[in-house]
Amino acid sequence: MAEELSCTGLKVLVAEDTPVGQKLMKALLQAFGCVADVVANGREAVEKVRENDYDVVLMDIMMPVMDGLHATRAIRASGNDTLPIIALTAAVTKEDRERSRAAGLNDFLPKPVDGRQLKEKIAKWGHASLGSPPPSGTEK
Amino acid sequence: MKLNRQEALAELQIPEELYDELLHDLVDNTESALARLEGALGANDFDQVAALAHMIKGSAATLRVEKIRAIAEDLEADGRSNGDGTEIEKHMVELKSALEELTALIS
Repeated sequence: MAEELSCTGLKVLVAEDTPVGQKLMKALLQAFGCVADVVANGREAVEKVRENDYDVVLMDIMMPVMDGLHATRAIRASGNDTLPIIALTAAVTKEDRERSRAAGLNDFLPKPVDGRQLKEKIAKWGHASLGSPPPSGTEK
Repeated sequence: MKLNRQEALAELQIPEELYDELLHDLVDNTESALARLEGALGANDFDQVAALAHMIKGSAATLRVEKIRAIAEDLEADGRSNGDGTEIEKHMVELKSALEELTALIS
């Protein structure tokens, strides 16, 4: 279960526009043993993904300059269809989910973020990205 | 103002020192956003009002500071509905007051 999850060494990109959210996510991910990069909007996320090899992307949906849906579409349109991209969003209605999946997002993490849920999602999708079996006890 | 510190720490799973540091960041960032909100309101830039309120709402929600989150949510709705200036001013006054309460709590 959660205490067995390992995120050590996973490379994670966080696209999040608020300074408080950025600092929190970076601290949590580093505490999990991840290597974390943080950007402030979708356009920067697209550039970072182009330049780096990440295991998981955490993508806020509502951001200035370029929102998370547009950024995800751009990443998928560039041919990167295997990178796990998890939506960070307070809005998780059925319509939001359908719109997000259509854009190419793989999963959701509700905001405000819960540290345990974050670790579960990172471990699950990070292992999927690396080709190893997902840890048991995680929910999609 | 009620600040449910233990619940926040349990959910966030971060050390108390980091939580306190983030609360101070929230105060600083919200003070800065309030100054920009005044400018946006003066320019009738309601998109900017909504964007700044959204940022405050998200930061406060992250740290489980419910009172500030709720006021910022109202302010964001004001901006998205293109603006009743009186309502925006009222919510900005409430936000300043809540920020003073939070500042007193964490000082």
